[in-house]
Amino acid sequence: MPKVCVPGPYQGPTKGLKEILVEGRTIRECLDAVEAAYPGFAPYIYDGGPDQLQGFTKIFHNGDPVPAEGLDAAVAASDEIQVMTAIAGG
Amino acid sequence: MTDKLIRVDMTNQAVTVEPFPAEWKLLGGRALSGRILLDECDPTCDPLGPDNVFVLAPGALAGSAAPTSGRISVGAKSPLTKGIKEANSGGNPGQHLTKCGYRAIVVKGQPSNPDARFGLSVTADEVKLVPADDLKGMWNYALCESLASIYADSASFITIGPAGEQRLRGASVATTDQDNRHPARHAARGGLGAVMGSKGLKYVAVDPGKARARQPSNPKEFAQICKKYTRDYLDGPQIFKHGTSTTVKAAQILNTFPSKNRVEGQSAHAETLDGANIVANFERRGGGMHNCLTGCIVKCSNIVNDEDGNYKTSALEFETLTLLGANCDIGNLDDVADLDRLCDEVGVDTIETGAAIAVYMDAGKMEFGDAEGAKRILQEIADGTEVGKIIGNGAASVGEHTKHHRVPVCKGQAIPAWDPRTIKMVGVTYATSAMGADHTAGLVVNPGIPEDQLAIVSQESQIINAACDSTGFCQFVQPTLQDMADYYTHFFGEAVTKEDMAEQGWRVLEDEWEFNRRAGFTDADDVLPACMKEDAIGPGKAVFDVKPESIKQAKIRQGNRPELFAMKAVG
Repeated sequence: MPKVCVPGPYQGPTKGLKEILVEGRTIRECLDAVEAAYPGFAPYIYDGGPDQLQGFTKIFHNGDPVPAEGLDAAVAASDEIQVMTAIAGG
Repeated sequence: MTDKLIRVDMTNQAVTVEPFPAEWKLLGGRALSGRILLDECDPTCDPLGPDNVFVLAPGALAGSAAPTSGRISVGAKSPLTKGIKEANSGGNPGQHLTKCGYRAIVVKGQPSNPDARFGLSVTADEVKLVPADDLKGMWNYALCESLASIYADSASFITIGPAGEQRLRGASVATTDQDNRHPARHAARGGLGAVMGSKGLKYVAVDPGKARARQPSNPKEFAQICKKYTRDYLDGPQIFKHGTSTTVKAAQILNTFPSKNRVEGQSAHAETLDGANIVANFERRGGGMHNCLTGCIVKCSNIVNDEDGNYKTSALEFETLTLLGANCDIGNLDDVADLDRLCDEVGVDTIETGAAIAVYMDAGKMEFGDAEGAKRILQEIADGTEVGKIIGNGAASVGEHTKHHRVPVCKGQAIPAWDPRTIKMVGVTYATSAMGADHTAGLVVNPGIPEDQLAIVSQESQIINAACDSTGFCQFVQPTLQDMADYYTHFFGEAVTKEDMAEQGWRVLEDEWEFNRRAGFTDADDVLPACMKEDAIGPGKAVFDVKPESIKQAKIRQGNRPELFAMKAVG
């Protein structure tokens, strides 16, 4: 099963889980599966609609950056989807 | 080049330069400042009296080729918290001092004439005090313009504005950034500008001339790690490339974008205050992202222009947008940029001042959302009016004078944006850090940390940030303890392990706690204010409810977990 890696700031909904194995054929389906299991996760990912990523969130597929238009790319069972975020003080 | 230490006696206006103690070789920044204060400053002294010690200490790697490593720590007993304080800043003075061979400046005493002003002029060959009475009362930008006309183009400046001269407890110490030498970087927290002002010191000018970068003991290996680290960073996601201001919307979702003196965890102005608007304006207004110090690869500092394309301020950060914006219910980005500029001009901390104005508003002395009123207050701080003094002395001062019940401070210092009710780990940091409420002391933005892990995560974050603040690295370049150890090994030419760096970080914390213990602090001071425990925010009605016995654990060494070495500095 593909693995979604959740950054610390988004682990409120996932109750501290850092890595979640999900059923999904695309990146979007994997992210949606996390939301289905842990409601409250999606607002960190999408900005308003399903085709707009939040500016502070970046998605990587096996280490490669994924733009919003690339969310429907296929994933394999051994793939890793990393969610990264730019959150700091200043 | 032999490392040197500058000592300045303001009572007799005398300067001496002495060899830097060999046993302090690996100490810089926060570690060095803390060690000097513990050794040489009476913790029970009047923070604004002659016995306080004012320290300027560049990080241990400042002035070297290590990327984003030139920060300078400012240290003293704080007039705000009454405990030890370190605040650090970017800009170029840290690099310039070390390129001249100076690892620290230690300022003691006080002029007999409180109206006298002095400048400290530093080059590689000469350090001297010069009269600066003609600069009395000047705002920071005009002051730096004036200094730029006196000193060489290669010089950088450390200055205070009128708030520091008035010895107000919210006063900051400004440092000039690399381009245009704007006094836009501030060691802002804890009222250290007031201590500099109490010494009669209006500015420090550091001219490195053509001094070259500090040379490492192992040049080849050092160059290799600098190159690799830079390449890895630039090939990575560069998550801070648009600065911290773009954190606003995430903070809103996390219920840590407090509004109206923190009675709510979210603000109605999150859309307008979102730093993404600043980035979007670059095309029309100009401005852009830049590096505040030479050799920075992060470039997280924004330059904010006005509608006509004229420079307004830099850098407009997340904390400023929160405390001077949302927390005062001010939702116009240009108004907050004006307030940021005014704070930099007058020389006050944007966090402390935003919190103070919000308490003032909450106490009914002013309407929430009154941006023009807030700007007038900044003018009043500069003018030294009664209201200006009350607010310039910080949020606790406003609470004291208005008898208002809701005063979000810890150890006398205003709580930053990161809210301890929703990000409980940072509440443990605020409670236990010798610095008081300071997110840069140790921050892990993770609302999912279980209560039994909060103290150890806070401790680990405090260790790595203390180590980072001692190196000169910016927290936004996010070094691990191993990264720091590698740099030290090849710069200083002796083996330093990640465990050694953890110990250095822990020793910094121990020195700071010991100073505060001698100053009279006890466990009873390691608490958050009632409003954080009683005023609930967010859909979960969150309050800070971490048990005192759990909080205490953060000050008891928990050992080196693998998580400590995987952690990256961030603030």
